[in-house]
Amino acid sequence: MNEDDIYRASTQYRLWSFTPEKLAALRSSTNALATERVKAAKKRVRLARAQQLSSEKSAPSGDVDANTPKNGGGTAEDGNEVIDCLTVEEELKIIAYYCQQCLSIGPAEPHPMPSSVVGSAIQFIKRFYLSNSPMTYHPKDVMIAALFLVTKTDNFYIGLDKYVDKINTITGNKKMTREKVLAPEFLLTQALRFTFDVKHPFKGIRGAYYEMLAMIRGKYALLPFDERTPDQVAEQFIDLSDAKSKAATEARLSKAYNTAQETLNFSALLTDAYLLYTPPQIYLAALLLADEPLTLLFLDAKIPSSAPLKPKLLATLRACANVLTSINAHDVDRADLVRIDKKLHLCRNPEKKNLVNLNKAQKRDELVEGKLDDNVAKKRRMEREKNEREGDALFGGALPAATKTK
Amino acid sequence: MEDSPQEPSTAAVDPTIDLSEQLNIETRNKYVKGKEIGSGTYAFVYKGHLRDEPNTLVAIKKMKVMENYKDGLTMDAVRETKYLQELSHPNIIKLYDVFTSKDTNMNLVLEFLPRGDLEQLIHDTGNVRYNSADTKAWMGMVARGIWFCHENFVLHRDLKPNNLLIAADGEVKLADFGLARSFSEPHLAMSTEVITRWYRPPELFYRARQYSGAVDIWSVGCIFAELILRNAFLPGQTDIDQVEVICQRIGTPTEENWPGVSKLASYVPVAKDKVRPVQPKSYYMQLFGTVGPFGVDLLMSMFTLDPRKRVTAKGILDHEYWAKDPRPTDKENLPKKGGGEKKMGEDLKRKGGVLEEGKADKVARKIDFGAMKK
Repeated sequence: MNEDDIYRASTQYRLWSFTPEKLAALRSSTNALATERVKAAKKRVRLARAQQLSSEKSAPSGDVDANTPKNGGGTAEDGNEVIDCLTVEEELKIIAYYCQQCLSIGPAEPHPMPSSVVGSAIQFIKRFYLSNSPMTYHPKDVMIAALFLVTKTDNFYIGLDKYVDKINTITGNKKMTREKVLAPEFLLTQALRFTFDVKHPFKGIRGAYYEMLAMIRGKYALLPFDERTPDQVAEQFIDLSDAKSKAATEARLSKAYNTAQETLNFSALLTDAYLLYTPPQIYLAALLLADEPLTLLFLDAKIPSSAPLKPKLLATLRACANVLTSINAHDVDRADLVRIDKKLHLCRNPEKKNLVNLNKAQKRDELVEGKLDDNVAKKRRMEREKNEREGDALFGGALPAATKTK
Repeated sequence: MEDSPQEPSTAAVDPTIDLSEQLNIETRNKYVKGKEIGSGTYAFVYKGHLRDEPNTLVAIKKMKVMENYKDGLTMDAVRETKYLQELSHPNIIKLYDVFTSKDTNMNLVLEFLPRGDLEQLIHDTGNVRYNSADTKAWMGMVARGIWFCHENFVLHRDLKPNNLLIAADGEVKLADFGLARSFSEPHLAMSTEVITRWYRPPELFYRARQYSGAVDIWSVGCIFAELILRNAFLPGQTDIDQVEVICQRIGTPTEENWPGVSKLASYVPVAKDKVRPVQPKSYYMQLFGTVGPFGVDLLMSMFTLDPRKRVTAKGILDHEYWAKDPRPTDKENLPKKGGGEKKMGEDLKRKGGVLEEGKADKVARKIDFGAMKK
């Protein structure tokens, strides 16, 4: 058993690694399905509302058109709302925005989270949206739940109260509640297929750094294929620096290491790198971007130049490097994000909007008591009914056909 | 069996169900939940089988919603699921599937291990007899299991005889990963409130906030000793007493045998005249001689006070002990004990890291050293 065998047994490899084509196909089918469902759900809600109104007025036939929302994006001739749904690209942009939010919220005071923990949260979000669409579940809700879930999966447990306090302190308002954090937790764990392990390149790159340091210092135990002496290897490294000194080369290594780490803490997390490449491929690609000659020398001591694997590896690393450079910290198009957010507001699945209530409904022990204003009561009723529909499907209950799905 | 799904997968038609929810329903429908074989404060355990293959048995561990825990999924459930999803090895309990039932409780579908646990075999001195070849076979399986965990950078942190379950074919499997975690980033502190007291190494009592696989190795040593003695070797009554028992039977940790120990947060300096020397090999030979001098060497290397010098899981597997006579017993021929199904239920429902109720009082405080001399 070697490291490769271990990696191939991991859920990261078995469930969460894709070819670029497979990844694109997955996202496009998720988007298509969500679009279809948003349209169907909106239609159900509209019909239910129309029906309710017509029965309240006790009018024999409801005027459906009159009851469609005024701001719903227009109404077609046949009474069907025209719903402008998000494209895959728009979905990715809005998801990326909230992943980036993790990078500012996670490490911020109070209770700053280490970067590998935040990195896991981001991967949870990215994995979640392979089978779900932002139109169904808003990335903001999922982000908040994912950042809390990682505190439990990645040994950074601070408890829910402290977490809620963290979020409210950072956002400067008191809007976050325990219920809102927990509401999507089950959806999230389900979509993650109950796998919580994320393998990161952070430890690997540290190993590479120390190995290169040993190479520069002539203290690296060379692999059997290597015919050079440790001193010869050191010389080759030292030749890289302009000053041709050990100190200058070590400084160059530190610089490359820091640059590569920045890449790992940003681009690697926000791009599709984790879904497409292994952790060593990711950190080697980050090093390659930071200092190519240095990284190539490092690889010379790892794999003989004559090995057929070598060109293949380099091609993979360059492809991974391309993915890593596909994002830039400064090129956020805020105007475009605002546009997408507005669009998302109009095409959200109305049946999945209120996760807190959905979650409560799912627990089935909720007692609706006291006076509720009409809106809340209506919402609750819809959730209950939806719940019953689900219950029927799941457990084959003998409830009479629900009226609103007519 | 209130949430045993009686319907085959008919839910595909519901347009409001998410893909992942759909997958969850399909997973749940793969199994039929049978009778309850254990129930505790932490989980219910059911016997179950594959719907399509009634002869393929499974254990279904359903996590309870905790009364006093309101932070969503519990840490134990998260940890156990996280690590068992990654670890696939003959000496680690297999996690086949995970699904949620309608009340959003997590259900772990686990390998069915009907032959009880090592603790039962160890303590049933009236009915179960075993020899040093059997002990070697069991220890080999435990060592391979923990080696695989460490190779995957996972610390078990609750190894003890009743977390070592026995499969129908005699294979021993590490179970209960409710306290497991991955090796820490070097600068992050870890909890010292792990591992059941009798199996907990000295560094945890001294609150070392960074530790390694060595904590599990100490537990393996305690298990090895318990297999030979047929009694717990280090049964402390309280945490403070436990340290005293370790000093007595293993030796007092000092700067000489463990450089740096005095810097650990809860280390209490011991007066020179109170220091007990590390026990010599002759002492171990007297107590544990049945496993031979190589077995004793191995045991002593697991009880090395300084965790940095303690043998590693790899070191255990490379030890000469395995190559010497007797050959370990083939797993099919190992002594067995019936009625393990119930025991599996009992073992899986427990909360990690604690001794079973009343056990500390019942087990003899002192081992009768005289009786063990041959």
